[in-house]
Amino acid sequence: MPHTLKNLIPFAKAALAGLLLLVAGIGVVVYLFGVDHLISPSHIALIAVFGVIYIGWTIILYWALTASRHKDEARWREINREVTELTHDTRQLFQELSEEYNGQFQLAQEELHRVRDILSDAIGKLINSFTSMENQNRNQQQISLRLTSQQPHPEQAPVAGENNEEDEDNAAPPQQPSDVSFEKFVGETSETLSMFVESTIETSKSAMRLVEIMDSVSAEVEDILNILGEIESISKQTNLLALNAAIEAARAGEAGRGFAVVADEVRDLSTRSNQFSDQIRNHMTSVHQAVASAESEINALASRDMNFALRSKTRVQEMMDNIQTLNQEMEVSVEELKRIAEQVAQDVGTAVTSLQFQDLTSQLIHHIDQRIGAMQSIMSSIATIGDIKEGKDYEEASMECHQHLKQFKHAIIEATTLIEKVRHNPVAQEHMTAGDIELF
Amino acid sequence: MTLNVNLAINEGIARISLDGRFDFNSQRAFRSSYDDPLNDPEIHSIEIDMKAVDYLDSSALGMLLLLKERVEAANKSLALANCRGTVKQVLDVANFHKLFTIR
Repeated sequence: MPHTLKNLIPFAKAALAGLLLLVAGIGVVVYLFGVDHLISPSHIALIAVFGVIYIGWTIILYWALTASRHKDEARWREINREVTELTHDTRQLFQELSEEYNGQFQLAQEELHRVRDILSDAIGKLINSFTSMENQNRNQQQISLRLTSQQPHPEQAPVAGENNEEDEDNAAPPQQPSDVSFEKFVGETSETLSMFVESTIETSKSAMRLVEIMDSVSAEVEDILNILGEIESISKQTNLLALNAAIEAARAGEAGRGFAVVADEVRDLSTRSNQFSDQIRNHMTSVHQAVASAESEINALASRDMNFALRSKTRVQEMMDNIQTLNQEMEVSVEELKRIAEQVAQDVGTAVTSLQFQDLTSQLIHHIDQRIGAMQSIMSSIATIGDIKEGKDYEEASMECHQHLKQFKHAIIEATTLIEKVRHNPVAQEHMTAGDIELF
Repeated sequence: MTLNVNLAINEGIARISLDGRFDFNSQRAFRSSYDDPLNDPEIHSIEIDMKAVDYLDSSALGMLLLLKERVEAANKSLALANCRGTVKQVLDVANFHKLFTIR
């Protein structure tokens, strides 16, 4: 609508009101005096007065209307200005809020991502180290088992990692060979000792038999020496007889000459026999001495102190006892090691299971991320609530004011709807995570 | 120090009591103590009393083994009596409990 035309509207309104008033005045006159009086000069004068009144009224009305309109317009302008200011301030506030929140949200998101990265890195490393700990633990157990069994298990080593039950099955039997090898050694030592003792006694026995034989040899030598004495006395007597015969032959003179020769020969034989006897005696004395020295040799050979055997036997017994104690201690230690290893394996398993919270945390972090995103979009939608320009005239001002209020309300409703929408979205996933959290 | 040997015969049992150090030097005394009982048909059992023996070496063990051979050859029985302390230990280590009746 053009401006000039718009200004005429109140005037037309005033004229229309004056006209209505005129018609009402005429009506009143007709009602009071009748139609005939309308044409008289007094009436014309009255009508003229009315006309003047009418014009004056119209002018007064127009002036009053115009004044009222201006007043209204000024008020509306004021209101509009205030609304505009308010919306402008609100918008500015929301924009600032939005900027601030978005900045904070972005930082929060970045920090959240960093938390997620740190967590995933740390948890990955933890799981790795726990797994390797478990492996080391298993190896340790294998080593301790092998140590006690003293036997390499080439077929056991690669299979070992697969399940624990097999390890438990194998744990008991390898104990046997170690006992055997240790005890075998001690047993062999004991056997060797017995053999040595036995052979020592056998040697002594043979030596004692030899001593008895030597005794009989000595007795024989004694007998021979006795016989030699006999022979010596015979030869002595023969010598005396030969001497007597020589004396008798000398006494007989020439007749006894031949006999003297025989007597000399006999004497000579006696001397020779005596010489032989001496020789034999010498030999026999040597034999006797040899037997005596042999006996002392045999003494040295046969006489063995038996305490060595007693000491050795005691030592073997001690060793046996020690081995038994060692075996028992080892058994206990292996049992303890096994128990500890099982405990560690269990603990590590629990730790690894617990570390799977990474999934949950990353899920939760994702949710937080989504929520922050939702908040960001809410803030953005609030920030778009429109700015309002100041109106120019009365009509526009009031219209625009309404328009702007409507827009503002609409924007608020849109933001609220978005908030509602956003609120329903992540909440749906919350139930799922709530169920999973039981793992902790 | 020598071994004192004492022989007592009672109801067909020749009891040879030993006293002192039983080693190589006691060979003759010990042997002479059992020569007669071995040849005596009246005697069916010989018992060696070790009560007073304070030491014995391998030659003593050899002598006991020789005696055992001879006693068995003469169809008689042999027993070692009153074995205690070191004597018992030495006899054990020589496994004599498997060869002799030890009381």
